[in-house]
Amino acid sequence: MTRARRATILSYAILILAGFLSLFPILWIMGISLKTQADAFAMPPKLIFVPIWDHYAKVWGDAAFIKGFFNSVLAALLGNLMAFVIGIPAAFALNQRRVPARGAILAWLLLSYMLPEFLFVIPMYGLFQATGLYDSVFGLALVYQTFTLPFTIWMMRAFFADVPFALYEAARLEGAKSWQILLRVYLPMAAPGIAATAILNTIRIWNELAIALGLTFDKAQTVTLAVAAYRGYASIDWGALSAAAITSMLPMLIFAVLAQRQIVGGLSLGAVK
Amino acid sequence: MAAVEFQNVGISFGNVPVVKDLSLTVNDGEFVVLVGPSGCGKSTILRSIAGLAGISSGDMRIGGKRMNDADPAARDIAMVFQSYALFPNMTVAGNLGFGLKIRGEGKAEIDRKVADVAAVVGLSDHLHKRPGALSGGQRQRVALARAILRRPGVFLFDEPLSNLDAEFRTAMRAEIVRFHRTQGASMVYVTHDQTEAMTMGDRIAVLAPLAAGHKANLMQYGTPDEVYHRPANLFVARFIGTPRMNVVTLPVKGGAVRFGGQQLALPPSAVRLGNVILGQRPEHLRLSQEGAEPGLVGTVEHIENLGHEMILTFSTAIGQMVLRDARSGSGPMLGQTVRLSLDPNQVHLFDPASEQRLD
Amino acid sequence: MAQDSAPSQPNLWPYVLPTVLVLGACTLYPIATVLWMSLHDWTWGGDSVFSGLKNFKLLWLKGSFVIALMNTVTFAISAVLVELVLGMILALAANRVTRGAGVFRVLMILPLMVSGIAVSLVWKVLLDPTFGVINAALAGVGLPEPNWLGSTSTAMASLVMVETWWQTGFVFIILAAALKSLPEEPFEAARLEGANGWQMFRYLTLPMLRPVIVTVVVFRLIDTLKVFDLVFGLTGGGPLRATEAVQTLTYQTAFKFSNFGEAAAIVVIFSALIFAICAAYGALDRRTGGAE
Ligand SMILES: Nc1ncnc2c1ncn2[C@@H]1O[C@H](COP(=O)(O)OP(=O)(O)OP(=O)(O)O)[C@@H](O)[C@H]1O
Ligand SMILES: [Mg+2]
Repeated sequence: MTRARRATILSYAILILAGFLSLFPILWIMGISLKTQADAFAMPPKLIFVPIWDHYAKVWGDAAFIKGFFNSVLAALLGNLMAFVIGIPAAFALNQRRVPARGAILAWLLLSYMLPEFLFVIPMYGLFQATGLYDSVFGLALVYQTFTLPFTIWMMRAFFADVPFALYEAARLEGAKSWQILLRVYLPMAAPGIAATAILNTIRIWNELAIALGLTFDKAQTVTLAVAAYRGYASIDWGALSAAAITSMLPMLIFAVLAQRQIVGGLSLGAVK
Repeated sequence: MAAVEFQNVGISFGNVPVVKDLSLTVNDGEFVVLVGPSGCGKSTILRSIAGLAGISSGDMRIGGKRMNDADPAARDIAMVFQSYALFPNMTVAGNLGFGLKIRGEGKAEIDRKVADVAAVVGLSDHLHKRPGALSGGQRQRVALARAILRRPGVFLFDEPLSNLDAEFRTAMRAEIVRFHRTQGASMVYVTHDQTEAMTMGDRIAVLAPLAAGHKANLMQYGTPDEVYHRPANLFVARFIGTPRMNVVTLPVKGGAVRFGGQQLALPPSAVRLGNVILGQRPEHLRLSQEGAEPGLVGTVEHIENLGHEMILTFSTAIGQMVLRDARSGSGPMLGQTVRLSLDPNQVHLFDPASEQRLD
Repeated sequence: MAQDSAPSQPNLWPYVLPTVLVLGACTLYPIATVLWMSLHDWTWGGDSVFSGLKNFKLLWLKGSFVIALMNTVTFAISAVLVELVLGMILALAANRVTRGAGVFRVLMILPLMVSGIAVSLVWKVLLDPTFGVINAALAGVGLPEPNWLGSTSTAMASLVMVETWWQTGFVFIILAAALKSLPEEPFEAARLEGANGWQMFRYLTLPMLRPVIVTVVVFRLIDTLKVFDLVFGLTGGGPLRATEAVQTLTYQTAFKFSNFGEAAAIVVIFSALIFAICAAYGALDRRTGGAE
């Protein structure tokens, strides 16, 4: 057997092992979410069992969980909407080189993306209490702009940069105004980029915990908080806990399978150039 | 009336001047070609007409109106880009109708105009396609049709044929010339290809880069014949024509120079100089019969046989000489020593200091 | 390069203005407020008394912040190192294979899709000392069964392990994309010179990937320094503060003990640290001619 062949076989072995380790925890919890209490605690663990749906019925019957689920849907929609409405024109302008303080704005965006959550949460806690934004999905979506807006601008700028500048000039010669060029030329050409960006924004918002923990209390609680509420069940009711965890992650797992290309492309866009 | 008029125009990027002291007039209906080496500012000048590059000094008029700062859309021009700049997300019809839509024309009106122009350039069957599904030549036509639709006073072309293969380029060249004749519109056409310049232009503007130390870009502005047969300076003499013109610096003695054994009387303007630059195109240089004429001795260094003609390169005591010989076949052999002589009626003389033409 | 040198340049400031306003509201206001709060005995709505550097002194004296900072740095450095090594191995392996690469990529990004809190719940069940499948498996082959999250000696390592399961896919995705974008010729030339696999990795792959590796490390480092969800979900900072992280301590200080002045002081110090890393990265990036 040649060296190259051995290396290829080793590579396959590594990848299969890593793929298994990646998938196993999720599969295992999915199994527990379908097991009776007795089966879940059985020693040694049971691989073959009769699935039951009781735990899902319990989680889906939990008003707080359902509320959290839909609050997160709303937060993702609002967060994306704000980021695109505000960020797309900015990305368009920052892609050109004649915006004053362009470099400073770009650095500021990166920094905003990096700074710790509680830097925003603690002051906003007071401000939101005073202005009535506390415990509101809108307020959350606004603070989420600290990361969605920089990310959206960063991504869209990269996609706009791929549009040949001659198209901009050709459109100008035809009498198009900047906003018309943005809407009719740049946006349609960057449509795949918008999809990728929206998917990644959604994943990030859906999974966010610290800001939601600090700035909501009851009516605007998100899905992550609803899942966190099942933490206390860890020693007793694994079924419900697992069903809650699986329910919360399922939409994003489906995303991963359906939009693999966009997710992988979007993640590697910034780092690899 | 002048279609486009430059008056002492300067263009700078930041504080780097790219165009200096440009004065040039394009007459109504005239086809003017801007030609010059890469980086000499051809595109920049064209783009300043379109309003895509700013003018730093002087005046630029289109149709008699000063247009230095006018919006690109208000300049009565249309431009065909080197990359064609078609909108890939729109169909051919969408591309052609884009400007009309922007200007708020009705849908029926747009459709009619688009159909008309598509018929003119032979694109009627492709209106529903996207640019990505077209061949290079068809894209070129869409770009041209988009320009025609604007019914501009002046057409601007920036190396529109450089992305096409050789065969198609010749066809498109003829098509643009025909289009110019039928439309009678003014055209400014940028190229670095001499053949295009010589064959297409009513007049040619030969430009040089400022970086090479020239005080202004415009080296000569004239008909193809003038530029070829009476180059105004050494730059034009060497830039136009392939192979390049032979150029040697010779000492002036007694109102004449010597080319090997050949004596050449100089015109009065050259007599007072110590040296003079003498140029002759390869097709005018002659092989003299052995012993017949007192020419310059040269050894054949390289032979390029193109079938219908031969390009011979000689090494001589005063430098390399290139000769173009239409009578292919029975020429001299490699390494053979021959005598070269000048055609005294086809000699170009230049002042070594100013590099300007001497008559 | 988008360079419009046209004379009648449309002014694009209005396009950037909303971003500047939102960013100002969401970052400048918090930064100013937190600085202000950190210098006060802060109570919301009540009288906040200026206290100078007292909050910072207290942080030092109480010691819990120092412990949390050390824990966090330990966690971040260990996790990033492991993720980098594993991610690199996986990227090299994936670069060798042709079939099944797509499936493998999906498997590797699955954990990235899961929220930190759900990850915590998953692993809490897996690592349960009595009923967890991992200890059951260890018992099955006769190995000792550690009290993963419950013992001070293993809690931090367990956290690093969970973090690694969660985020190695990110490092993998980026390194794999970077590997794919490398030119082929240098490797072919090296092979002709007789270089072996390790030499090609050491002298070609690694140097060419350097800028990407730096970027990945900085992003992962900052992300792991900000660790909150895993600690919150898995250990709550315990046992005995063995896993207390800066951000969980901030949360406790502010929202459990309502000591906002002190929490603000923690945030100030921590943000300064993050800022310093970003600035160093920016300087490095500029020097090596990276993006912008
Ligand atoms: N937007 C710009 N900013 C700065 N410098 C520029 C810009 N556009 C062109 N230049 C410079 O101006 C000079 C002339 O450029 P221009 O594109 O007009 O040359 P050209 O004659 O069209 O050359 P080519 O045949 O290569 O197209 C070049 O040195 C170029 O680098
Ligand atoms: Mg050019």
